Amino acid sequence: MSDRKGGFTQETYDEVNQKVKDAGGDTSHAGRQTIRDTGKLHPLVDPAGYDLIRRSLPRYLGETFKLPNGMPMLTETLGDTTGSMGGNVKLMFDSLPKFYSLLTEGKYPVLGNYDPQVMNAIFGDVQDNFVLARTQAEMDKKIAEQLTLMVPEREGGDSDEDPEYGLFGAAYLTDAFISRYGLKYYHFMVTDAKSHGRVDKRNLVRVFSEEVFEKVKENCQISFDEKNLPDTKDIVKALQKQAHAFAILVESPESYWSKFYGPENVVVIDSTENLPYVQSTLIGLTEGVFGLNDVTEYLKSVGLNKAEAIKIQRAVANIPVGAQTQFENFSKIPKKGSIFANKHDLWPLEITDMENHKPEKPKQHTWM
Amino acid sequence: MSTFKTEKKITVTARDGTSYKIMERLGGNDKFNYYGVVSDKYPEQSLILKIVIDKSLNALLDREAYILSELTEEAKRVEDEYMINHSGSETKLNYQMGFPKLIDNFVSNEQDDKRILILGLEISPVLSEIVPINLIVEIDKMRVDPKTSVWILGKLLKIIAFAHDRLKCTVGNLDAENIFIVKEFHLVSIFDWSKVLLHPEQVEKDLVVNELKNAVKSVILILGGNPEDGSIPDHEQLEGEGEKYRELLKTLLINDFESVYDAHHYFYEVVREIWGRKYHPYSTVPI
Repeated sequence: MSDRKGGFTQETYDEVNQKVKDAGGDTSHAGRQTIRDTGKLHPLVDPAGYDLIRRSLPRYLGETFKLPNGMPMLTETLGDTTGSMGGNVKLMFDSLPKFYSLLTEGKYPVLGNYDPQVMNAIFGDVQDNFVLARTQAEMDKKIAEQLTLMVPEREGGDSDEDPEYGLFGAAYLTDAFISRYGLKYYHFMVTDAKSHGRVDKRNLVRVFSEEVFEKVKENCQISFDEKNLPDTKDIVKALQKQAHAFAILVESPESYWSKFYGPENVVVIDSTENLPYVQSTLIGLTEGVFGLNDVTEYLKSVGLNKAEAIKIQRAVANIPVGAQTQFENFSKIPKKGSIFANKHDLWPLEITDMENHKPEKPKQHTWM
Repeated sequence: MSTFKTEKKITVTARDGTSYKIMERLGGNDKFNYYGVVSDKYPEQSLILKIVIDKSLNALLDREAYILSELTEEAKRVEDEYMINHSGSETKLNYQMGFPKLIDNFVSNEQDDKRILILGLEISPVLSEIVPINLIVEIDKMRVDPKTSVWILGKLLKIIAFAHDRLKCTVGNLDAENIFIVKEFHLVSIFDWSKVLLHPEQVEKDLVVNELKNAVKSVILILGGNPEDGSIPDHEQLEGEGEKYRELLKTLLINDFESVYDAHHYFYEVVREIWGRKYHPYSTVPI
């Protein structure tokens, strides 16, 4: 497991997992308890909680604003938890150590140059009590802890669902620091169904609170006409401006989601069992860590068998390989160890600057 | 149009040390340049070097290399199946003729880290025998006669049906300049596979119809016709029963076939009704 400073580790995961075991293996035990006590989602996973906007920001070490692990790179997984996809929270939880290690370790750590921050979200349909649950952007034990706050309702069968509310949050209520460099973060929607193809004001308010339009305006300077809300195409288009957004479909025809994502961003797999491998392959290809012809070697190197590796290689063959590398600042992103004059500066101090730089007020060692 | 970085240096070396000697520039577009090359390692084969114009496009060729490898494997698998089911038969399916053979795939440090594919064309070891069909009209100012268009379209549909049905992919580029023929031996190949889209299941009908129409349009173009309405100019072969060939082309252009495989079969069925099954040498007439 990664030795990144303040990163997610097997030990911290085991602590959270022990609580899951103590709860009889119920991954969602903490979330169920919150709902029993309050009738609401826990604020950390309530899309209306914590200011609505999910922020992925750099964390610093020490009084000189030193980057311990690199710039934050957000990955958000929006999972369907209806019908046969009801096990997705457990899958996200069980596979978390593998997912994080694929991002940060091995011969090809696909986000090795960054500080990976992980968000998870689950969606149902508007008939459910909770249409959407969405964690914060986290990088340590909290990733696992917040997954235990997510409660799949497993309703809705396998007919059309409502992922649009999750996509809306990703598109308009996410503030990823990496965007300020002109790079994109990663968003994965995992589903086996079509959608209802719309959002409406009543449910937007129900999911995100009365503040939703105000917060969208604050975050991305967009004023929605409440009677003319974005449709699925608009939402995905907005999401793709700031994220490498993929629709990962489980044994589902690609044509419906291709209309919105474009066929190159739709990946069809036969089960979610190997989801972390699919996600890390998509990231590795997009970041130019390896090429399409290296995918089977990569996947075998991280423990997958050849047959599964070949299936994933074919599934991802249409994606825009190297898309992240095309951005002007790709190779200029501040690396681990960079020191900044001020919190949230884009560019670090030069060596000569550092010699002259004296922080105004020494602060405690903090992670933000 | 960019050319090789060092014109004096007329060889490029692959990762394994194989040298490819640049003989001539064959052409290019906004993404790739093409050169005729030879190599001591492949003395019997004229080869094509395909290089991206900028390294930011490297992934396109890496992907095309993957597609060509998949096509080759599938063609071999189909041929093996056919041989098992038709033991004793001397007929071969030869699907590998329909696309380039991937000889090499590497990033060249000598060429600013651009990716290079070395390709061979199974339809002929001699590049001068291979003709992109758009040149028939654009350069030679000729048009093929209807019977010549039969084998071109027939074999083109066979390749597309193979791609759709066996690899579950759409070809993407079926423009006339991407369709190569060897006139003497009636061979057809699709050259550029960088725009392929792989599908998880059978290629959907609207995509099938689109590719079929694009293929037919390219052939109508070299018949001297109008690809939009399917009309083709008069020719003595189109008199009498031959008139049905005009209708056949329009049918392929207008009707929604379930698959290119179906369209391919229907095409040959009608052609045999019209002209029977006879060899017809490559023939053109001035435009």
